[in-house]
Amino acid sequence: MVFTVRGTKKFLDRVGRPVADPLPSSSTVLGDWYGNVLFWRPQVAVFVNASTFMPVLMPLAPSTSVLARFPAAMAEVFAKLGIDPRFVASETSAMQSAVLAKTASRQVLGVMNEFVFMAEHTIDTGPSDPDDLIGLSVWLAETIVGPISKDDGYTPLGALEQLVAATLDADAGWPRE
Amino acid sequence: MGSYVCGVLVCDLRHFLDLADDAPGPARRVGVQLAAIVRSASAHRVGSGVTTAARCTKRPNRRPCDGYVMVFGRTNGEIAWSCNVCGDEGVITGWQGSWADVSGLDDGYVDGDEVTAVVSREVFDAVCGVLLLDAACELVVVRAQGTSEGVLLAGRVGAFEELVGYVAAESNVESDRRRVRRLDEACTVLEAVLGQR
Repeated sequence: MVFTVRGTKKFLDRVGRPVADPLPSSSTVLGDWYGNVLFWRPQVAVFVNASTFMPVLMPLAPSTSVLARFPAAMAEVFAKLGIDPRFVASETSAMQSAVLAKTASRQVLGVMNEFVFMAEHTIDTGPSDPDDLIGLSVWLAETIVGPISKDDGYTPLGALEQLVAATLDADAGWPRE
Repeated sequence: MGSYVCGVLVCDLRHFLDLADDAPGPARRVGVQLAAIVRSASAHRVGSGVTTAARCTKRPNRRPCDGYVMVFGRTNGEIAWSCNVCGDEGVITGWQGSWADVSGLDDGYVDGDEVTAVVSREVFDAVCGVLLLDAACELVVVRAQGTSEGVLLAGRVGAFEELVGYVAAESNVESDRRRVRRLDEACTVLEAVLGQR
């Protein structure tokens, strides 16, 4: 029950050493997450999912436990976005341990940089509160992201909803709500 | 506007900034070139000379000049520049405090060892067009130097890593395939340097 977090150098310097290839395959539906550090006060960890580009922002400190705290933060963001609780429960239960690795996708790195820029802009111009990282994650999840197709609604939330619907359809064994 | 004195273009940058909408194209192009020179020169110490990555825009014998612009920041505040191939030269004043003045940028927040990378001129042009850059990445770009092998980028590991992210972000939203290819090439070169660390 592992999931992979691919961190930037900044992230890995603070959180831990990456493991060498081959990596164990993620047991989650969402797959790999990318992690970075924002030098705000206090410092913030930003995670972006590689398959849906869903962003999750959370406090970095203490950095040694950020990976252990991540599933709960992700579940909180997903709950705010109204994602099916069965999917959220399934994902968090499959995230019992994390494997650190180096980044592998420029596309995700690019999206992460865009998110950081947008987050800092919305804080600087007033609408967002830097202390409300869950609210900021929800806002970013509903912004248009270049690599997401029209079919997925151009947004990370749209891509996530598509993935959740496909997963629930495929797995009829899940208990009904 | 500027004027040639004994073959040297002497001009005040302020005259070229915020040109009117109906300003002639050549004046605008000179303004863009002067701003590029000021950005490169103001990124280096006063009293030091350097061959920047800014291209010469002259067309001797109706062919584009292949040279790079060399700059020297004088202690009296003037920037002297000249092309290392065709010898076109000039002096710029009135640049302090303008948007092209990057002397106030600080990259002290990035960590890591100093690293370098060489990219082709075309790839560098693509990187120059990236609109979203933080101060450290901006300094990597404006401090780039022209060499016979291509454009030499130098900076700290942290700045290079940030630059990969910004270039990738630009690539994500670019529709011109040729430019996407060049941006990807830039990422490949930068990642190769980071991979060696």
